[in-house]
Amino acid sequence: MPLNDLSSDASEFRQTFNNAKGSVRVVLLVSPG
Amino acid sequence: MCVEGAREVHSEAISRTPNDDLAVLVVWTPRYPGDTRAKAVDATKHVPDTRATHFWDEDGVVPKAYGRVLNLPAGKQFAWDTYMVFDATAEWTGSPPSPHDWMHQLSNVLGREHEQWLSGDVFRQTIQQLLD
Repeated sequence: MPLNDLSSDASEFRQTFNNAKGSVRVVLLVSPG
Repeated sequence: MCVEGAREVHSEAISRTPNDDLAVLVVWTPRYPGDTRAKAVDATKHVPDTRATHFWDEDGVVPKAYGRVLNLPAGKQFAWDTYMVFDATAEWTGSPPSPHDWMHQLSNVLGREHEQWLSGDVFRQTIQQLLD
């Protein structure tokens, strides 16, 4: 699946998170190791 | 843990919640030597949900932010192997929003006996309660 690179302020994550307002959101913070 | 936790959350919670009102954001971040972007691309197969958006967080910006939000112990405020659920009203404006609930596999930080140690089934029930 596509992988989106985050900038130093993670604005891409914030935008995706906020765009999904109105939905329940699950966020996983994981390492690929 | 790592990939195993993501796999458990997917198989036990996300895939068993076929609701279009659920969004999934997966932040892959390097924690071990050899954790590369290419490895993260491969790891996305463990969360193959069409509702999922995958990110590569080279600098650990989101895990660092949530280490503070979740009030992890001083010196260990890097939230990884961490799984959070947010209700439909949550919004990240000035500071990151607190999750409705969260679980983890932070064995070296909070320990396996901690009440929020990951249970895929409990995590699924929490998601479902917010969707009902």
